[in-house]
Amino acid sequence: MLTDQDYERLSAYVDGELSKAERTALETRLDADAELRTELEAIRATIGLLAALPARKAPRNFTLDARTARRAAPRVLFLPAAAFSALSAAAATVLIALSALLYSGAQVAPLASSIALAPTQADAFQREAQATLSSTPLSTEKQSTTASPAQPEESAVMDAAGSVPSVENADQSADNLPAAAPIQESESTVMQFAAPNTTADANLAASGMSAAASAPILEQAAATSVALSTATPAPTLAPPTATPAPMPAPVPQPDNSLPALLLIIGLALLVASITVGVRMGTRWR
Amino acid sequence: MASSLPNEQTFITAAKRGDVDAFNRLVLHYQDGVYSLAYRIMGDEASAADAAQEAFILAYRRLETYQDGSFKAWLLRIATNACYDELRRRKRRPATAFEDLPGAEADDGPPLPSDEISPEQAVQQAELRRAIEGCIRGLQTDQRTVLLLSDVEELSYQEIAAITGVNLGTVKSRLSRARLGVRGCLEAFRELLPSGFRQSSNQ
Repeated sequence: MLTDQDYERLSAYVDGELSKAERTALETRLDADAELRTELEAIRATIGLLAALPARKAPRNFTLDARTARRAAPRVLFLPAAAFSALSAAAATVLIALSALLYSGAQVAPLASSIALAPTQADAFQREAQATLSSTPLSTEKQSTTASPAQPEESAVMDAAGSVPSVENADQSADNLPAAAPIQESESTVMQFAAPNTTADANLAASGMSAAASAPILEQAAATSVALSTATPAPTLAPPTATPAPMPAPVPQPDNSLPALLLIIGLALLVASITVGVRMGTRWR
Repeated sequence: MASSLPNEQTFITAAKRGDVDAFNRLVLHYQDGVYSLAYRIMGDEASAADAAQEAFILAYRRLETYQDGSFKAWLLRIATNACYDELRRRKRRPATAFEDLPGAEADDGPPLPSDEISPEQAVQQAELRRAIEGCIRGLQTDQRTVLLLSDVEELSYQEIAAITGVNLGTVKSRLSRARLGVRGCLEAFRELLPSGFRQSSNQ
């Protein structure tokens, strides 16, 4: 009876895979053992049958067409493409989020900052305006009508600056500034911050400030600002007033161009990421 | 499987540069062999065709990794792995049991045209082929693959060890057991066997 090891030796012997010593030892046994010889022949016959097994005909050609070949082409660019896709997707997310943040911030921030800054700016302007007023005949008297007729805007504004709030005054403002009502309204808000000196000059400054904060009345705010700055070079005014008024100009219109730019870049990166990703996906079977 | 294609290295070099036509010359030369191996490992035509096609696509993709040595052995390695991948997939989806797949008893198609044999001989050859393939299919996958690579494809132990990822000793023992298994199985088809096999088996 042959062991598994005997069969293994016979099998390897047929294939010429025995070491010289093993081969010699087996051949010595083969000379003496008929059963071993029989099994050796059986193994050879089996191998002969298997070797003669005809190849099967492929049911179709497995040649690659151009499209398959393109897909199967070695993708040395796979990793860089994957990295690009992932990074651009991440960058796109960050940019779009930043854009949204800046955009919403741009809508809220100016109002908030105007309210926060109002006391300081109003005080500053108040001091300046008071300096102006103290050095000019234009004071609490209603002399705006004597001001240059060529500057109706200025007169209106100076009027407001130089007089206590009155219905008449408000009306006049309303005449000159179509959006005076909202201005007046926001005035009162800012006035609280301008306290304790709730004088008309502070009032004016505040009106300019709050006008700047409200987008719909920006035009009017600008008009006020222009009116004031044109008023300052008046010969009757003292030199300190020649300096530009710290007025609505520092609080510009909410600038949406940066968020928009970030949004566009973000969306472009997102599209690039998706495109590269999809291309990779279709190529990677 | 057919011996190597004349000017094989020329086609390989061209294919490496992206010449699909050159690669397809290699495909046409080796496709019957690759398909045969796949069929005998997988056990059915559809799976074998899928595995063979996958093998050639993978071969084209990985052509850079072929350096030198036997291109046929390199190709069979890819084909064997493609079959194993498919078998693993099938194991994960046991809806179609391996034994239930169309096997030797199914229609194998006409035998390959052969010169100077009578219709009777052709039928007998086809039956013998079916018998042998049926016996091979009865082996465990590991033994089956080693047997096919060694005795059908005539690769060396070294090449088989590289393809199957086992050491030479394992190749040797698996092959021995596979040969014994096929031989025992073929006893049932004694009447189909050539006289040489009958004689040795009868003793």
